[in-house]
Amino acid sequence: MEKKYFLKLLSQKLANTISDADHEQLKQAIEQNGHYKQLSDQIIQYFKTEKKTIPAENQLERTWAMISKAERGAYEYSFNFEDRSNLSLSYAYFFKIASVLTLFIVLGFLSYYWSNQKNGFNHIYTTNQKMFKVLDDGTKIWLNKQSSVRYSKTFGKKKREIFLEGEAYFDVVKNKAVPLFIHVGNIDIEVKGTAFNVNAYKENSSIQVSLVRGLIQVTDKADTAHKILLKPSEKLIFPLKKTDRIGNNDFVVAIIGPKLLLKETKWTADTLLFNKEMLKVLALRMEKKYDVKIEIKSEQLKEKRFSGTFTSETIEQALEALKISYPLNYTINNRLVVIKD
Amino acid sequence: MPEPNKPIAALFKEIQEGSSSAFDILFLAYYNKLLAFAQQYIKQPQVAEEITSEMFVKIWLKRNTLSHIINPEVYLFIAIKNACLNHIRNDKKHHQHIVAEEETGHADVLINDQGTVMEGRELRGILDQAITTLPEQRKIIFKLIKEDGFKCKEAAEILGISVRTVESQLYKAIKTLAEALSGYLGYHPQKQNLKKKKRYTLFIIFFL
Repeated sequence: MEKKYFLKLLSQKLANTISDADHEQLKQAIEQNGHYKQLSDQIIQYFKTEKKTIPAENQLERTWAMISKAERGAYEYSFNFEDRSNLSLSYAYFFKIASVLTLFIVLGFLSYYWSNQKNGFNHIYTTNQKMFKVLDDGTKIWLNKQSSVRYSKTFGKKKREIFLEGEAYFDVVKNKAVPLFIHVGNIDIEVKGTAFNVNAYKENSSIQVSLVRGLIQVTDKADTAHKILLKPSEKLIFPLKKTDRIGNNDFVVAIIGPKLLLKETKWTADTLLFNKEMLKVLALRMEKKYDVKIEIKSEQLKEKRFSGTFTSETIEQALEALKISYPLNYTINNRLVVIKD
Repeated sequence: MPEPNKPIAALFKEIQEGSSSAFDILFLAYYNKLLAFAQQYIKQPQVAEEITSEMFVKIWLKRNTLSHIINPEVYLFIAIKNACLNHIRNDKKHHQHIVAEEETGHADVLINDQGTVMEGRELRGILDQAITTLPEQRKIIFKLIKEDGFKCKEAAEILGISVRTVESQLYKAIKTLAEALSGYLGYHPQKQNLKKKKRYTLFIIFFL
């Protein structure tokens, strides 16, 4: 049973709305899966625990005093227990809406003005080395050689826009309120929280977008009605030259297998370049590169910053290199690496 | 929960007939629950207390109108909710948003204990802590069902939302609890990653 479905049934059981058939299914799943059993035991037990409260006898006395005061007409009510939520659509409400709208219009003008100023951008470009960057909103970018990204200094606040040249892999943090757009060559990519690779080197005859997970929408800049929704393990090939296109339907979508998909994004993992990166962040990337689990036992070490490059080094060599630049100890046990003071 | 010996409908009837002892029973059975409910909207403890007490004052003074009420328990919670929301609406300065957060004394437990056998109380702390991180509405729904023993339908009626929303919010709250537990019970996060990968591979094969 999927964990999601298991939790759904468990929550129905707790609310006493579970059907008999579902209950039977839930019981079976719990018997078969030790982890599910542990979870359901603990959560059900937690549900049974009661908050211990002191009987509100003092309050009762006070309330009777309030009642007798009220019966003498000497009590002033301060609260209203009627549902008044519908009455608030009054002038005050109208003014609130109007002022919010005005604010938006002003902000719209201002942001338009600001975005037209070139100096409001951060520019990152690579020459012969790859680069990894985490943006303010948590979005991760692996930039391949000879590539560049440009994004506004206010990235993430009102809008998320990235201009790309060359090749990059994006792991985008989901934010429904602020969608992310990537402008590359003659297409725009709208992202909803996903990971994907864009290969748009100018030497290539086409832009290639491979989706690893999530959902993205690609739009032709020349014709905004011309768009396509890309699903995981699909690859979009869009010719750069008009002459290479076949009629109107020039979005070519290829389905690629998992092996091929891995190959497309392999360049992100084979070189590990880090610049003043905290060990706790670096460890996450090393876990990916070396397929190990890294535990750091010292809070102080976690915050320590390192710079360098790992390409063909083994995990031992990499850790040894870290040890040279900062005194630390490590143990490697199978796939578990422990780093301590 | 401390059920009154008599069902609440019977208590309401006796109060309507002027029984002050029925009022006392009702008060002691529901005051703390209603106060806790009010405190989820109003962060100033004094104001929440005043709202709850004043509602009971009204119950007694308007006791001869109690007979129209179909579900007394739901009625009490709705009255508290209305008073809280009206108070927030009137209080233009919105003071209650600045008042200190709930106590979060369990955070360090999450980090310290590794491999040691945990005690029930500690585990409860972890779960209580997880509940405090829920969004307000979800927290309110969760407590109505867990602490006050309401059914989804009743919770929906109290909050003026759909039963579906209550069910899905409860599911999300349980999911948060399960995540907190998984982390604590030493369920290896890497295993979870592996599982995800497997699922993902399956997904691709499905597409091919």
